[in-house]
Amino acid sequence: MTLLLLLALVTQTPACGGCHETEGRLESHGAHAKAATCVDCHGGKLDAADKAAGHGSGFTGKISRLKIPALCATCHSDVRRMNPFGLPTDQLAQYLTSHHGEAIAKGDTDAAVCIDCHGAHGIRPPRDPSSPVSPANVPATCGRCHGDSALMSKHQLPSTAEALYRGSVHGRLLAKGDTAAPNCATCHGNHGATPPGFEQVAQVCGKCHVAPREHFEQSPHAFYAKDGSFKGCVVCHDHHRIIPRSEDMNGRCAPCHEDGEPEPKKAAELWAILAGGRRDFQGAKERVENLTRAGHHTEDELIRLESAHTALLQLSPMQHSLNTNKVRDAARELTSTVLQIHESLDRKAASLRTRTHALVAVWALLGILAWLLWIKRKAVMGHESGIAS
Amino acid sequence: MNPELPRRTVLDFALRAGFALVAGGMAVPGALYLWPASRQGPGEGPVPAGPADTLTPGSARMVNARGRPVLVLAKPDGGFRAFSAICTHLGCVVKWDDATKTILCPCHAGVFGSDGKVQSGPPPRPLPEYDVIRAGNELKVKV
Repeated sequence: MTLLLLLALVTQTPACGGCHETEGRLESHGAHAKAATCVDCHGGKLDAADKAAGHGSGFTGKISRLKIPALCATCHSDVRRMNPFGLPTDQLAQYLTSHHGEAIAKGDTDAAVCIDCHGAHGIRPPRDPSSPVSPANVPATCGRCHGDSALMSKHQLPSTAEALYRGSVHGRLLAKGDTAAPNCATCHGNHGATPPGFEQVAQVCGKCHVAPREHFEQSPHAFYAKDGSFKGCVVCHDHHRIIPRSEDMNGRCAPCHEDGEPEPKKAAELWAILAGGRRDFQGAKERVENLTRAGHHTEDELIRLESAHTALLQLSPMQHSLNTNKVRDAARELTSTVLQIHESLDRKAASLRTRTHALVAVWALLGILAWLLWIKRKAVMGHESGIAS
Repeated sequence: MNPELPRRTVLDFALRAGFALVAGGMAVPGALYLWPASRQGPGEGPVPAGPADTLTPGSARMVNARGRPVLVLAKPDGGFRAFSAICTHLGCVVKWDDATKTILCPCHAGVFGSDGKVQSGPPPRPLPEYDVIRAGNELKVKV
């Protein structure tokens, strides 16, 4: 049986690839090269002597888009076949819950099927950087359809997602080569791709942004997010073009809160506290670096600086609680650490000044000595010339 | 009395005193060089990490290793391990959680095991580990 299978694999490309050259070449380098044959998808006979026999009984030829998910699932939902490769078997089940799967079930052939993301022949695993589903390539793969304005307008969908994502904090990270940066699938899912509902946004973002989610859940916004009247993270940070920092948030309260209301003032106060914290930390950091360069031992200050850095990084997620007292208390801790650093640095700076003044005194002493030596020399020379005369 | 004499005496005295000051100024750094390095501030070599007997199994201690925080853990079997206490995500100082016996990052909820490996959260890499030396009851960390 094994021998027959091996024979089939070996003869697969010459048999089909004799005519279907491109497909045969692609398949010989793909993930299926050693795991599936042409007939697994297209039917027909693998070791046929001629085209008529090969395209004979059971041959399906080009597969209907509507049938592709179920066809791929014949192997990919088979636990016994997938186990040796360590692959999951729930892709079809997930796909059927996705907007793509629902559309296919309704007979909409515009919806994405397996081959639209993975390719048809020469499929490569996601870990292969040349795979269209490799993390770095996912935005372009999704963007092939979701950036197509004609296709998207037909389905009343925006076609700007990929372009917005490329400019986002996530997109810029991915562009820098950080493949751990969130891509489309991180928020929408892959096989079960579905846009998160408003009530789920905090959970979806909170998968990675754990601390902001925890603080958000303690905020007054959380109540309105649960009843669906507040859209969660995307209200301030937007979706796809994700805005990272509070400095860029001016005006983000406006859709819900008017200028005169207390909430925008509270937001401004929070941002002022954060900006002050960053400024204080940066000032202390620069001073420590300068004194380290000047040759001082700054180990104690460096340790305090690490604590201040930790306090600073905790401030930013904390603003999501909208609790100014809590944020102010945390900022006070940061300020206190920064003050300790400055006091310690002041002592070291004073020591540096003392040394500088001491250097002046040493140079003065050396100058006086040189002058005295010159007088002594003159006296000795005068005494010797007196004896000689 | 020759007026040259006191002048010469004063001159000689000033010269001797001056040279004595210069010699002293040169001798002090020389003596300090011979003084034990540990009295002058941090240098090279392993960093003291406190007594071993006060670090009970399953507990941890934070050590200042030349400006870098290092977490020294006492293993339940009696050994010791030391890890950088700087989270590999965004550089917050991590803390030992005695209840769960894990290392927690307070900023973004990263969790490291007592072996320094990432258990959950955003940290991309394990915490760097340092060798711990035990000399009698004294622990030292090679950073």
